[in-house]
Amino acid sequence: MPITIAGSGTITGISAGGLPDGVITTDDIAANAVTYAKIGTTEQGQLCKAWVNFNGTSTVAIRASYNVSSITDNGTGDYTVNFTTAMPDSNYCPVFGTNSWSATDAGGDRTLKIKTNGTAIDNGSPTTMTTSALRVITGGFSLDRDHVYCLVSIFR
Amino acid sequence: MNRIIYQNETGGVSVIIPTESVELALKDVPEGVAYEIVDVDDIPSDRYFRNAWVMGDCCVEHDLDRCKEIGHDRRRQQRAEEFKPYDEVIAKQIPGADAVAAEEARQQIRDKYALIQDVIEGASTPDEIKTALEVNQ
Repeated sequence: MPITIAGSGTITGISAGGLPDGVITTDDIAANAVTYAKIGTTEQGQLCKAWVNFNGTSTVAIRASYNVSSITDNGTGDYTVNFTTAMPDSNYCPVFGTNSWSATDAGGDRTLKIKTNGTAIDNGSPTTMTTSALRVITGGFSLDRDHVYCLVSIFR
Repeated sequence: MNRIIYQNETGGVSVIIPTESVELALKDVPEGVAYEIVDVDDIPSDRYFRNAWVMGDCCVEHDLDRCKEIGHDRRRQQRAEEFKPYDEVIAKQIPGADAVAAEEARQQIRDKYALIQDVIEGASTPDEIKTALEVNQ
């Protein structure tokens, strides 16, 4: 007997004592009935909570993203990643990636990091990490610079 | 897609690029800050003087004084790059290298960038500054 999940939340096709033995195939479940698996707290920490891939040069543009409502272009190499759904706290772990800042920078210095509130970009505490947004700096050779590929992922 | 622009804490312009809709991205404007929704084509695609952008009456404009500051910074960077090979000859006293010729080359660089400095100071548009720097790169 196929298992059916009704819109009201009732499930039919399961005999007393639990699910039937054997593999449950997608044919056993009504189409589109399952959209998101419920997972435990530990497993949630293995998932990327937000990410964005954007071009920081010319007309700044977002290539693809998840859980990001927008990015803010604040100046040369200075961007804010704004989350659609806020993080539970600001203790998340951002992961960055970027490419060369110019054609002549083959294998050279390039950075993408958290913007801090110090007088220099490497000083001060990372207080630009909030539950709703993260401000980052892209650069090269100690100067803020625009990069073609700016990649930010958030784990929590 | 449209963009949201507002004056940021440095007096420059911040540009919000929405992922889905402008309506969703409006929450990303700092609280209490006035903003405008503009067409993407109203934002300059040339970011040479990005940190000189200011809010104008109808769109993003360039602050000429800030453009000059940026221009002078670039002039100093370019000059330092051109000095490098000659600085090394003079500083290291490399045997066989002509220190006199290196010093003459350094003086030519100084003269060239002194002229560029004058062009930047006298510029009435950002393009004049950019052209002076790019022609001499």
